[in-house]
Amino acid sequence: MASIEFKGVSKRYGDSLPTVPELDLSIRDGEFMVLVGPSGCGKSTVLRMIAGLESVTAGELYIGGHLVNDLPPKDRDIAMVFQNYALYPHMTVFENMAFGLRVRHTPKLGIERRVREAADTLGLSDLLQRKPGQLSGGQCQRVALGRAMVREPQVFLFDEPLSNLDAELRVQMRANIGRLHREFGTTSVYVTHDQVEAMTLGSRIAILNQGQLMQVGTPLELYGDPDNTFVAGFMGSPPMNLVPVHNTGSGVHCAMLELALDGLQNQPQTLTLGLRPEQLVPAADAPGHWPRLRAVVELVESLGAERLVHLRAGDERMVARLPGMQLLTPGETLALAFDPAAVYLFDAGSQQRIRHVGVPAGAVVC
Amino acid sequence: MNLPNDSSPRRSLLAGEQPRGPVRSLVAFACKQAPTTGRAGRILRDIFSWRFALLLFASLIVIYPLLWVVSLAFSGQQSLTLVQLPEDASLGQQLLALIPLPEQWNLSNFTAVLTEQPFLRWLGNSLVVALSTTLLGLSLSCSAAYAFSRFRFAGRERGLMLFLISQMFPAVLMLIPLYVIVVQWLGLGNSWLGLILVYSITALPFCVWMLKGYFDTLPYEIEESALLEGASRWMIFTRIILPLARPAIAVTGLFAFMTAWNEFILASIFMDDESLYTVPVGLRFFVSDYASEWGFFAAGSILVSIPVMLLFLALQRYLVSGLSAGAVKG
Amino acid sequence: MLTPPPCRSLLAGEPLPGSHPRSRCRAWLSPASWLLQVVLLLFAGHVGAADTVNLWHGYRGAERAAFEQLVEAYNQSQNAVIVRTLAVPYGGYADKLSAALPRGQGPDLFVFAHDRLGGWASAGHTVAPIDDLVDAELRTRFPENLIQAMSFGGHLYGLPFNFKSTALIINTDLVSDAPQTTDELVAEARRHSDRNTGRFGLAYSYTEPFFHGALMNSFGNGPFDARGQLALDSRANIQSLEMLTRWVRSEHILPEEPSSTLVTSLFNQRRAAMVISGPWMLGEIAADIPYKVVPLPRNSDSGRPLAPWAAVEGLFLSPWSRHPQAAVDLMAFLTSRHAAEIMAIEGGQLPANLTAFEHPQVAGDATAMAFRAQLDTAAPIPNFPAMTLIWAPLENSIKKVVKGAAAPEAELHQLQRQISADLARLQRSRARSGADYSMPLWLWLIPVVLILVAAGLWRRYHSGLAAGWRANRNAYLYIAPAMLGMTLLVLFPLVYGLLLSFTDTTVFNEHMPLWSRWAGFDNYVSILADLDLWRGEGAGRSLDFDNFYWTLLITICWTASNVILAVGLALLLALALEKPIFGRGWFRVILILPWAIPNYITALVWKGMFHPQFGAVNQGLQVLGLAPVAWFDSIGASFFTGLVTNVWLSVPFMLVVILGGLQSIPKDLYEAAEVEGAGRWLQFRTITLPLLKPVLIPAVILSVVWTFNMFNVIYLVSDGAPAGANDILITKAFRIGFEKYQYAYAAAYSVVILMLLFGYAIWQTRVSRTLEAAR
Repeated sequence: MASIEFKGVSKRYGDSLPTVPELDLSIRDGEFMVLVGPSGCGKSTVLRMIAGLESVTAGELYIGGHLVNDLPPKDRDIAMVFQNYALYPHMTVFENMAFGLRVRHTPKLGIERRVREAADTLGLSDLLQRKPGQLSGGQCQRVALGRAMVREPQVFLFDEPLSNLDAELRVQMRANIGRLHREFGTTSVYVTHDQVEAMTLGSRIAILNQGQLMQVGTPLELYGDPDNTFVAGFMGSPPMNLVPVHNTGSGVHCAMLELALDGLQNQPQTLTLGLRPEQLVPAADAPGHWPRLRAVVELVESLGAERLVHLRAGDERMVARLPGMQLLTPGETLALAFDPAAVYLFDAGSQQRIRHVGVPAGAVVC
Repeated sequence: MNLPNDSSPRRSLLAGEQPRGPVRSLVAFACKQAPTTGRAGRILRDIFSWRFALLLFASLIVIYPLLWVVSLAFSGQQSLTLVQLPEDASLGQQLLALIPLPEQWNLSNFTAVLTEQPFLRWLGNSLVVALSTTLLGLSLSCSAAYAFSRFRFAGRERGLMLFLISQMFPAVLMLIPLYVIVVQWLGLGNSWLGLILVYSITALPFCVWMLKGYFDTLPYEIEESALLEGASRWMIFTRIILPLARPAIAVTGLFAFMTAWNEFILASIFMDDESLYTVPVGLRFFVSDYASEWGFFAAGSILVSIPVMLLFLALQRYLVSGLSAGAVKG
Repeated sequence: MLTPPPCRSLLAGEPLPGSHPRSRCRAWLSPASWLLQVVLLLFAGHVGAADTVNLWHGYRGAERAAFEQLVEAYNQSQNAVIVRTLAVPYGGYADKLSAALPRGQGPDLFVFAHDRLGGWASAGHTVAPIDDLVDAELRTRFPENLIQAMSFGGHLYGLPFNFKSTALIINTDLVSDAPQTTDELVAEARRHSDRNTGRFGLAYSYTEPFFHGALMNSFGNGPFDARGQLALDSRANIQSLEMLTRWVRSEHILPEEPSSTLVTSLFNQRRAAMVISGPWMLGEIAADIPYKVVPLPRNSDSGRPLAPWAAVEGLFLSPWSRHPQAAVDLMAFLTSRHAAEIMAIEGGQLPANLTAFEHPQVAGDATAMAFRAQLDTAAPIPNFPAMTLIWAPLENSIKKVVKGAAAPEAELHQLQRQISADLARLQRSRARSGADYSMPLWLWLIPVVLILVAAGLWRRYHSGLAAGWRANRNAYLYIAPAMLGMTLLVLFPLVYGLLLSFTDTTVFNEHMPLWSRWAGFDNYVSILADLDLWRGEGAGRSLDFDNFYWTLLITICWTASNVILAVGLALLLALALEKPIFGRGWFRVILILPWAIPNYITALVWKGMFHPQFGAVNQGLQVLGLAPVAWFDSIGASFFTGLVTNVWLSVPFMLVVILGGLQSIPKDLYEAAEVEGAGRWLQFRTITLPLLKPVLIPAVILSVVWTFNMFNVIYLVSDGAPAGANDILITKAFRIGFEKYQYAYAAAYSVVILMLLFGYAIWQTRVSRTLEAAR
């Protein structure tokens, strides 16, 4: 088991712009780190640099305290699970799982025992003599997991391992992976573009955008205390509503709402206001001092216990997650309210969070 | 190693992958729709389809000239009985007269070919030469094709082009320089090694191009996975890539085999010992400027093609799937 | 003697008298020792003991048995040397000799027809004169005309061993009295000729100069005049062609498109009453045909007997032999009376030592004595170097004339001009090569400049190169073995060919140093700058089929039509085979058969099927009530024969490639298209074709290259008929190199071919790369 440390690591192909400009990130021993971001953000490149499949253009990369910039993949003691499983089609499940051990000249008995153990854990015992072509996608993915497990490596790497599975299997496998990590406690790095996976699996999450590290933290930190609009917009489902607002010095306003705030004097003219859909409640149920908001219902998505209501006022749009079953028809005007303390403000230019903004007591205008 | 990150188009080509999920259910759906009229009905429907008519017609065109060879070989004679149409016969009889059949079936051409000359021995020699060529040719072309497919290095495009160019220079003009190199410089005249070398190199361009195409279709992740598991490049090549490329290797191997199997002129020029001749050289004894024993030649040709046909049949399964995947990215 | 066909004595199982046990058991080594030998031979180099005399020959069957029996007897009779024989098949013999001998390799002595002697003797380094090794007494064994055949430029180069000439063979059931004059011959033949039923009074390969020689020699002196000057358009030669044309076109006593196979078949089926052929045919005459051999009749027009050409098989001495005296001793032994008798009786040969014909067993053989009698009027083929240049063009001319496509006189004048020009070119190279032996100083500059340039490039780029090597060492290591082989066996011959193309190398100056042959761009200029597609004047004006651009046009048509047809048909068949169908496995095997069977024989079968009268194609046309086609008379029809054969041969490869390609197309694409309402044709155009492209493009590039250089099919089927109009670049290069001895000119042709194909490949890959990028 080992920690992983990126110190100013960058990656660039040819003369083009760097895929990863300069990354500083440390992954603690035994941690389950999820790298998340939209496709093309460089998260896979980061993972492949850990694996040694991509060279590091500049900076230093440490695994377990050792500089590994020039260490070939086979000497890094790392196992990786690929999106398309990358099983060897000409080998049986057993041979697939035993390959890495054979390569390392593990004694035959040891191989047998470890493969059987892993197969038991993953429920593959009956499939050991089959070839990958005869397996379903979920089974393939479990074989790929097993293959990584039997080697008992220092680090596990997962490259979007669940994206080829259907929704039901995905949930099941997600649980499997979580359970395995809790059991073995091996340092793991997991790449995904699915924030639900990130939230459910990660001890910590690193959010990447265009090669830049946006924020690192536990799932709750990222959800509750995003550093910038990107993180705010990425975490949570549906994501946080982000509305451009005008800074009046004593508050902000836009077509939908108006809100008095302290500490805005030195802030720029235009800001972005963030508000989670679940923070919006029907005005009737809200405390009187909460700011109100009026908008036209555009679309209602019913999820059963709750509804996602898409709202519009002028050019601005918001989504509210409302409980209850009462009838809502598109076109009708809806009055909602929200807790002013739950509002996030961001600099519209730099996209960075503006903290230390308070709600003046009793200064609520509807 | 500098592998492109995004290899998604290749992913669906993962060898051995079967249709899963939606594809599989679609297939099942399609199967259910097929009318279940039973075997006889299906055969009847097949026979009256345009496809069957076309295939039958093409097969007849393929077989007809071969029938002449067969009938000449089994006639026991050296030249064919000429077809002369019966003057006043029905159309059917006239067409029948066009089918080449010997007046009497006779194995004497075959026994003569086999006994008069050490034909079996030459056949054996040819087998050794052709199999060695296949082996050498495949070793050279597999490793070269692997490099062309997996590494991006200076001179890659030019190297591939060089292989193509070698097919462009007329072979007749290569004769003397090849003789100079192989016999005079390398001293490999009168040894099979010289022949094997030349044949392997001759077969190389096709083999490299086809194998490279096939390797291109193998997903990179399989290799990366093996790399992470601690396998060396060489081990990946021999334990992962080569077994996976078996179909393509079978096909290119067959091609290399055929290159060596049918070659006549170099074999007759290089070899100075009759017991070392290959079988095409032995066959050509039956053809000369003045008189040619075509019956013997036909019988010999049939004998010579038997091993090739056996190989064909054995590899048929690979033959179709092998080139397919191989050629996908050519 | 001549009656038993080559194989029968062995088939009957009777041991050959005098054949030594060693030679018999060699063929039947046990498998184990054979395997051992295999392993040893894989690594064995050249075998050659000091006291071995190597003897090459082209015999097989009974003649070979007799020959080896003699050699064995010689080995028993003395201890000085051991004679080892090597039989070489006819098709590779000349090439083997001309590859080995000028390079100091090859046998001590060899048996070969004498008509190449002039070329070898003029070129040097191929045959050695034996005047000093042979005494006068030995010469008296042979008739003077055979000794003359073995002499050139006042030197004797070998001893005559056997001779072959044609004579008249008559079916005694049909013809009772041998005709004494050509008038009688024609009269008799007309009685037996009926073109409609396929019967002919006379049959022989009359378009081949070797056979036509009998007529030429009976009018005059043959292709050369008394002083050895080329005289193809002499009055006598014109008359000979006029007589032949009369026989074919007005008397109708001869079949069309004759070949030795056709002649034999006709005779065996009693469709030909008389044939002109040689002893080689006798073994193939069916057992139930009664025949008699008689000398050829007298020419009624000239009053002289028809004088067939005699080919003399001579024993020649290599200039490199380390045992010249021993070799000549062997020659003397092989031509002794005793040996000649064995060659005659057991080998069915006509020995040059005529005393063999006094042996009672030979003297009692009417056939042998008929050929012996024919020798008195026969003329050895002229052994001038120019003779080799004449064969193929003269055959083309004869074909043209007998088909009525040209008048004898005009055609022979034209031929005389053409061959004189070829000869002048050869002479020029010979004259030039004698001039300057010293290496010009500026040549030393070339390596110096090369080294300087290399050093400069190294200084400039070595850091980049070294970095490249470090970064991709693995890749280079994987490629190194293949590249090494390619460099050695492909690049070197290429450079050799390139250098050769800048010289004026012919057979005469081949051994001279390179700089004395240097000719710069002369060859390229004469190939590429000849823009005049016509030759002759006024009414005699015709397309010049030797012109490069004509040949290029034909080659492009040939390649394009072949590849398009092969791909199209293969695509059609692959689509038919793609989905399961009754008998699918069988169809698949049958349809790839043409790939498995040696194409040498299938190509010849196709040629036979296109025979104008007896070919299956024309007979089939007649059954269907259509008119037969003269396949080899017009450019289009002749082109068609090659096209059909080659497409037949190349569809299997394409079929396999396309079948594979079709399999890799996901089936759900078709389902999706069907759901969207696309018809079959639309599916084919929008799914099948685009997805097949990556499969097809490399296959098409390779098959274009292969078809462009498809030598066999053209050479074997249409052979460029009519008159070389359908030759493609590669066959033309071959003819120039090997029929005209102009090696450098042929090399320049090859380099031009290479450049054309290279240009094509660049263009094609660029196109396909843009296609790939668009995907």
